[in-house]
Amino acid sequence: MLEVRSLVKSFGALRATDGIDFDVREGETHAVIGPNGAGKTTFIGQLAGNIRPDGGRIRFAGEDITALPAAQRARKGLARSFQITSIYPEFSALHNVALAVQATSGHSFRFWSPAFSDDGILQPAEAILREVGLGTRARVLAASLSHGEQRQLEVAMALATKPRLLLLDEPMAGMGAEESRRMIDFLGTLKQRHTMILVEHDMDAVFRLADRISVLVYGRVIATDVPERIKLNEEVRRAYLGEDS
Amino acid sequence: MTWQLVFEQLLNGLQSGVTLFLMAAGLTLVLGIMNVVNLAHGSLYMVGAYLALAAARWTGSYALGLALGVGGALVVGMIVEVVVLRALYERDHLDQVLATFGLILFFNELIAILWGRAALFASPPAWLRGHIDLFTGSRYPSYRMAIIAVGLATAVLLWYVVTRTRLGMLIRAGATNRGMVAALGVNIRLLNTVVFGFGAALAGLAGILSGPIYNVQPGMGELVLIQVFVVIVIGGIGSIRGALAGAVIVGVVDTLGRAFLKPLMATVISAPAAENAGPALASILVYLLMAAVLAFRPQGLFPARGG
Amino acid sequence: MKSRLVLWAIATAVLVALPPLLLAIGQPFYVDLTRRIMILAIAAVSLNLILGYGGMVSFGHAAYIGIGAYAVGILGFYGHFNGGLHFLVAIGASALVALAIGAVSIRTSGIYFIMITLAFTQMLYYLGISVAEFGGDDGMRLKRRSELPFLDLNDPVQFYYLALVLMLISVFLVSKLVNSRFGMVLRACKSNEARSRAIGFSPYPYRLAAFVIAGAMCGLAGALYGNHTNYITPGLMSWTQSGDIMFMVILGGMASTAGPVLGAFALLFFEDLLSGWTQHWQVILGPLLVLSVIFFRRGLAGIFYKPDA
Repeated sequence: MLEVRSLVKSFGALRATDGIDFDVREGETHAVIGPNGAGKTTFIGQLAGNIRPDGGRIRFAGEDITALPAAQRARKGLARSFQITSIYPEFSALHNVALAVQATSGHSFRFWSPAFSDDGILQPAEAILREVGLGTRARVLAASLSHGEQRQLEVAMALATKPRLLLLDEPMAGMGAEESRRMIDFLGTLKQRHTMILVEHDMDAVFRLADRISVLVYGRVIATDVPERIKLNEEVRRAYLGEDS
Repeated sequence: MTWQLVFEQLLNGLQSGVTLFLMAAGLTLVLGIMNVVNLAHGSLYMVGAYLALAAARWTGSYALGLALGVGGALVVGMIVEVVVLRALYERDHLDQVLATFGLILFFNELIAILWGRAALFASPPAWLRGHIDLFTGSRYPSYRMAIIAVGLATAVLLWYVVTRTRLGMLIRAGATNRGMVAALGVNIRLLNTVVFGFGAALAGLAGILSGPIYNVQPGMGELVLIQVFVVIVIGGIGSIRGALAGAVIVGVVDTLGRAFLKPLMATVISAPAAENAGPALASILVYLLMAAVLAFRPQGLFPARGG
Repeated sequence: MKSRLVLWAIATAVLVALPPLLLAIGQPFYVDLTRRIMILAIAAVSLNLILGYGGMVSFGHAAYIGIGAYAVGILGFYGHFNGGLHFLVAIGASALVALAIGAVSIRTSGIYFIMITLAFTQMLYYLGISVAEFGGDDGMRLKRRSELPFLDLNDPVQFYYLALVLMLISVFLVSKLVNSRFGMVLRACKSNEARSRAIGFSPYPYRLAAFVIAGAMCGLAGALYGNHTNYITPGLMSWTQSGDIMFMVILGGMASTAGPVLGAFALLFFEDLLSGWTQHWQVILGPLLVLSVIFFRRGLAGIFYKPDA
């Protein structure tokens, strides 16, 4: 589904992405882990279309998307959630998701009829909110949601665009233990229906959800393998010495 | 249209350019480092001109008037920074635009109250009222030449301060990463006030120098300010080099356009048509230039980031 | 929602009743003033679309007042007095200019956008000054007001009601627009641009469309304004005029339908009041504006009801 070849990105003297080869198969959940400063954010930024790579190629469902801006990638089915919560604070949770639904149901150059009285948008939005566990919080202002609920909203919005590939950037960032467990369970239910790239620090989640794991260190992928073998990989252990294990 | 005439207009363009540079340098630093839109920069230009004029009349000395004018602009600038701008750093650009717009109204009217709405007459000092001989054989007003000299000297001074002193280093660091500079323990408030005051002084200087050539009247700052915006857009925000390049380009293009576009056009189209179209096109030439730069290099010719 | 409609109904009733009342007490000047306020309110409503809902700080909106007014003036200069033609050209020309300016400017953002819109408006101002045939700096007097079927614009009261109707229509149009799909995308892009891109909305086409619509609506206001003042000068396009309109929008409360109207009434009545006291009223208004920006965030509309969700 996704194929990355020889991706490079430098910021001045810093080679944040140093020749990454990476691929995601249809239906798999592929986790990306690595110590802080490994270049995960830069990598995700290039996949999502926010950062332009200096070199290399990205193919999505057979199509070369290297030069495509973020909005076009999203329309092609590449959805993302942000590591630092990025929602519409002054809209309700329902309207947040509704906007995402609207983005993929027909064009939006309609100037007259109200956007959100259209059941074609509100019903799917409500359904997704229920799925994510925010069904009862639909009318709440997004800014008033708890941090954990906002993280759920992030994922909901990504789901609402009917994606072919989900790019989840630390969905559990800042969540407590109980919330994290619920999110992991939820992501587990997504596994059957979606292809996902999961960037996470929470190793519990990674080892439970991932079909394959790629380890990113100093801008390079030092290993890509199934979780059991990654655990035993020498280089990986060395990279993580003193950090999460 | 002789070569002498062209060269003379070129010098005029350079003179207009360095005046714009004096204003643009201060403004681009304020925009780049403090990320604040300050529409009242033109008011400081005006304040400098009026204070210098008043001081010169009072003391009878041009030099003293100049010094007091620049000093006065500096002080007024710092007061504005402390009283108004500090409340605006964290606000969005819209709020900054509106608040500084309110300042413009205030300053224009204050000047009108103190000195009236009619344009005042400012003359260059006696020792600069003559002409000098150019190598082309024609003569050029000494005063304008002095402006060019002062402007270029200021550019060199600024270059020295920005690239060779600690203050300059802080300024450049602030232009690329404000938060980091503050986090490093630098007294960012003092830095802001100093930078702003410095920019205000430069604007005041520009106003004083321009007095004899353009009009000294309420609202004089705003006319220049918009040209300064064009300069900054062309040159790139936060970059002194960009401000100089942009200012010279704008000054020269504008001056040459006004001088030669009508006669040039008259050679191609009919004279009466050129009579109207010439000045019209000349007046919008720099804006078309800005549009062109935006189309191909939206961040300007010498953007600060990376420099 | 209903309470809002009630408030509007009351306001409309008041405005409808005003002319006969004012004429009865011998104050025709206030009919003219209110008419002027309503015309500028249309300009403020149009700016609110791109500023309040779209987040685009366009400091050059007065350009379209100028274009609309000059459309009326120039057509009249050449002997065309048909009001329908005037309004059509005013709206069309404004839309085209907005398209041209917007196409270049909207690719930038933040400080750049503000400066650029300001610069382009100034460019039009200079253009207006330099064309001597239409009066240059001094402007031109309208030969005759626009001629409309069923209405005589020379009758101040009829003109007043036309302005009122058009103001109400523009408010209605904008309120429909901002709740439509198009409007929601515009508001989303203002609220969080990165998020909007991430779900597949590319801000540029929506912003450009909004910019054109706002320009066109403001052009209509310009055509009305030219008729109102009977005298058309480049000063209509000055950036102080742009600043005034912006203040109406802010004062009234951005991103609300009534805000710009409230702001227009507040600012212009206040200016009228102040100018009665002293010819130097701007020295008072200036600091007041500064203070209102620093301390007074939600605007007048916030007093009446909560902002749109």
